[in-house]
Amino acid sequence: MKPVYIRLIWLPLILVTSCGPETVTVTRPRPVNYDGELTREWFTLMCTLVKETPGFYPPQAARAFGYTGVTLYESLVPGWPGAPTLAGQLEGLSPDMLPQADTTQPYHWGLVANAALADITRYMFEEQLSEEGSLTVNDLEAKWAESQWFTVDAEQAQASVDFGKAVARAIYQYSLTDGGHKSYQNPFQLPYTVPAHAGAWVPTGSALTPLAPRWAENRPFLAANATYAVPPDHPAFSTDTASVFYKEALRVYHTVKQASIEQKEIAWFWADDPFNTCTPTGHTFNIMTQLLEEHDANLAMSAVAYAKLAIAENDAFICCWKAKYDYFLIRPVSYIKAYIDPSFKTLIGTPPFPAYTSGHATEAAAGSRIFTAMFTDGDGYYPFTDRTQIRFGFSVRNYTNFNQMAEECANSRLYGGIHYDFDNTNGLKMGRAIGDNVNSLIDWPATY
Amino acid sequence: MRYGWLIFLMLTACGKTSPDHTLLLRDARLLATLQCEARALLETRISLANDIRFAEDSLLRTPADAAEKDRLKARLDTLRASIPDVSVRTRILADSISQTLARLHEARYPTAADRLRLDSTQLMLYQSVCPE
Repeated sequence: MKPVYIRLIWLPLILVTSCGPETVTVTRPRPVNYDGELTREWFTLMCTLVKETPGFYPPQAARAFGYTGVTLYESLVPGWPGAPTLAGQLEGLSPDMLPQADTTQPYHWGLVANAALADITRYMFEEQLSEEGSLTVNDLEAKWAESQWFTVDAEQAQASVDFGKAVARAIYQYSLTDGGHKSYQNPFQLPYTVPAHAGAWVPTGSALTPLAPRWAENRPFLAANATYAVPPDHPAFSTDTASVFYKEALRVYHTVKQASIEQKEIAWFWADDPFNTCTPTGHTFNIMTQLLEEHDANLAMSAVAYAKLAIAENDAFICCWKAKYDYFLIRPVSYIKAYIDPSFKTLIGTPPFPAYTSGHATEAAAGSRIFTAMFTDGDGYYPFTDRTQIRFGFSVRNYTNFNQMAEECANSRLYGGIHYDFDNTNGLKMGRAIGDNVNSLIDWPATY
Repeated sequence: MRYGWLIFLMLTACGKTSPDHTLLLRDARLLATLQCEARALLETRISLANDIRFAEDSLLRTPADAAEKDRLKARLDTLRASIPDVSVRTRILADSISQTLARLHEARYPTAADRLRLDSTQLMLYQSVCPE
């Protein structure tokens, strides 16, 4: 039997705790407990800003989307048990570059994300942002801040906003050294001397030099993408009518000449809108937004989804642009006019950069791998209706599989007459490799 | 799609139309009408984009004929000057369609199956609302 004094040792403790303020166990809300709608609105706005801001061509747009997705994810990591930081996983991003969260502070993660997205959007467009664009950013930030501010006390709200802004600032600082900073001011990276060799790209429109010839010098988010996502050599350039190259060009010619109504519709659909496109990356982000909306995704799931796609799209354009300028291949329209039919006209406009590989194919395939990992059990099967273009007069397009969607996007460039088939098939392979790298080489949260 | 309208008539003729079905038809007709308007504007933009690139192409290939170059440049300037107007009209209509679609989805078509039903009815009505 224990002595009495030992038994009584608990008494003061009981007395002290029973006389204090009521003890309540507080479970702090995590990003998974917040609605993801605000992220969808920010990425929708991003599409509008890309359309309306001068200098945002496909590579520049992919970069802007890229850092925005990374910022969103990283801003939520401290409140998300088990969520690995991207610091140490992305090239050039180390933990000391990121602000430390106050572990005693119960942040409101909706406010954190909103502030982070608002500021990184400003940083990505900077002085290029029009007055109207700037007001739109302010309005969206205010809308979400106001709707969430009074759900917590003022100190907590302010700390949340401050932390979100600090993460945006840190990621912006990180972006300054990637080689693409302010590239919108000189998107064609002039001066540039156009190489001249047999089979070399020549101007196809008003742009006499190609877009972003040194984009491949930019730092990718994943080094493995630059190392491994490289295409095989394309068929050797030749004007011999018996050559593979000639036959591939002839295939483009016949495809355009005999295009069905459906093929024309597909070409236009994936070319997005003349004067109103937010680039292929924007289209893929719009699809992601639609998928997240259909899943009523919470803040955590939205952050993982957008970050994965952001990294994949940024790297897809770096890798694709490397191939484009390593090979510097003539576009089908130039070849066909020179060697097959001088009166040839493509269905859609040929963009001002070399052919091999297709940017659309590369980025769509990268996106399809992210969609597959996020929304399927790995087989890519997902009955999906792309409604992103209804507002521009297109009908919806239906797919049963994300891979099918990426392949249609790639083929659309053949139907439009602006890519050889091998540009598309090898672009798809590169994109799939990039998407797979993002899914597997980065440590992502197990649950969201 | 040739028989879409016929199938639609058969469906609507079979018995009393439920309130849900009436709403579906009304919503789909609204979207089809907006899509028709958007399609007309899209064709204007495609045509303008083609005119611009063909004019650019001609300019690139024009021999050293100063008068012809000036004529082509003037034509290009005129074409390019019309881009802002068509872009603004596009944006206003696109925003209206986005908002309408989001409102309808949220209010009456929350599931994927509901939305597919709306899509297919809209497509069916599009043929009558927007004849080629």
